[in-house]
Amino acid sequence: MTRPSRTHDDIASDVALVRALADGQHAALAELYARYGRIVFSLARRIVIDTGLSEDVTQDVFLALWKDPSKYDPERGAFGTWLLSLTHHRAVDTVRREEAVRRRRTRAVQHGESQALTDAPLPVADEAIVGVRRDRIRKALHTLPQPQREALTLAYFGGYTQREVAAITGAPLGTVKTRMLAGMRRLRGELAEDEGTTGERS
Amino acid sequence: MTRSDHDEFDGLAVGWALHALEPDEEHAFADHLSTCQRCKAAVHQSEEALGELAYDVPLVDPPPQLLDRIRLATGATDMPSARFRISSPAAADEPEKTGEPSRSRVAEVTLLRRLRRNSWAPLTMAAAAVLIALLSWNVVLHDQAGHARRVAAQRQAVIAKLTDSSTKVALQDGAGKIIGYVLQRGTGVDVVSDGLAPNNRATTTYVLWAVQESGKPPQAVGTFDVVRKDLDVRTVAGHAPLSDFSAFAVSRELGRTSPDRPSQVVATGAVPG
Repeated sequence: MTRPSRTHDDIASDVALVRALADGQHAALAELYARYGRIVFSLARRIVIDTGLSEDVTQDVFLALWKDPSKYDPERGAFGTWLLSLTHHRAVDTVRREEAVRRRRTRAVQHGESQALTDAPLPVADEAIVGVRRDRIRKALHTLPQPQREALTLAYFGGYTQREVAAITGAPLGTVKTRMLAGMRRLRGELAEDEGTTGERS
Repeated sequence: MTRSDHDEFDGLAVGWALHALEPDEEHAFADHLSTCQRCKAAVHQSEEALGELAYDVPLVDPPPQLLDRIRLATGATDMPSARFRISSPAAADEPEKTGEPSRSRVAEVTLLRRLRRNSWAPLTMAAAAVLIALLSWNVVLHDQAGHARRVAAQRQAVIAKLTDSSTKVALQDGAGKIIGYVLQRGTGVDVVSDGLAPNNRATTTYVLWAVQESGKPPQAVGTFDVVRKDLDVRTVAGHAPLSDFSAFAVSRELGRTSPDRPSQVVATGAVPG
C-alpha cells in the first residue's frame, strides 16, 4: 500500500466512507483500514516501539472511528490528517501510560540497544532525529536549524513533553518552546512552498 | 487579545498539536482554544504539517490478524444503527427471509472479497477461520430460535481459533469460571478477556502478574485495559515467556501503574505442565 493520495476525489471519497460508517457499513471501515491501516500502524509503532502495543493503538483508533465517525469534521481538513493526529495522541498516551515501554525506550536511547526486548529496529528518538525517510518532509525538515528539528521530532516521534525535551536537550524550557514554534512555522512554510511548486493540494 | 498574548498562544497551539504540553498548560489552553478562532486555525495548520511528518516513518505492514481483532471489537460495540447483528435482536428483521441477502450480509461479503483481493494483507488460515467464524456468527443470528445457544457455540469457536496455535494459560475467577487466557506471543503475551469487567481507563488498570514458583512474590508483567465485557484481545507490554513461570494472575488496581504487590486479584491460572 502506498501513501494515500491527496486528490480532490480521494479526499471526497474518504468523507463518503466516513459517512458510510455512520450508516453502519462495515465494508467502509475495511476500506478505510485498507487505505490508512498501514500508516496508522507504522506511526504508532514508531512512537510506542512495541509491536503489540502498536496493534492496540491501531485498534483503538479504528474502533474510535467506528464508534463515533462524527468526531471527524470534513470542514476542518483532510481525513488523513485527522486520523493521524488521533493516532499520534493515542500512541503518546500509551507511551506515557506504559512505564515498561518508557523504561525500555530510555535504556535503548541511553545504551544504543537495537533490540531492547522489542523488535523495534532503532531507538525511536535517535531514529526520529536522523532517520528522515520521506523526500518531501525530509526536504522541509532539512531546512530547519538542527535544534528546531530536534525539538519537533523528539516531541512528535518520542512522545516527550516540552519540559522533557528541555531536560533531554539541556536547553531552557522557554528556548524549547521558541524552537518548536519557529520550527513549526518554518516547516509549514516549506511544505506550503513545496505544494506551490508541485501543484499538489493540501 | 493583543499581539504579544498571541505570540504565547501560538506557541501553546504548537505544543497542543504535538500533544507536548504539560497537563496544567493543556488544561488552560483548552479553555482558550474553545473560544479563539485564531488558535483553532493555528492548531489545525500545525496538525496538517504534522500529518506530513507522520509519513517520515518506515512503513510496516500491520499483522494480518489485526483487522480481525478490529472486527471482533467493532462487532460487539453498541452502534447507533445497523452494525454487526451480534447483540441486536433486530437482526431477524433483515430481509434475508425473502430470499434477498441482508444489508449486513452484503457488507460482509464485500469485505471478504476485499480481503481476498488485498495483496498486502493475506489472511492466515487461522485468521481466515476466525473471520469465517465471525461471518457465521452474524448469519446464524438471523435464526432467533437457537440464538443464545448458537452465539455461545460460535463464541467458543472464536476463542478456540484465537488460542489453538498458541501456548496458553486459562484464567479463572474465584468461582472457577474461565474468564480469559494468557497467550504466548513471541517473547510477550496477549490477554484474551472474556468476562472481565471493563475498567475506568482514567483511574484504574488491570495488571498481569507472573509467579515463578510457589512461595515467591509475583512479578508484574504489565498493565492492560478491558474496554468491554465481551471477548477482546489485549497486548501486555512485558517480557514473559510462559514456560519461565508456574502461574499467572490478573489484578485490578487503582491508578494506572503496577503496584509492588497485587491488591485485588480477579483471576488466576496455572501454566500447564
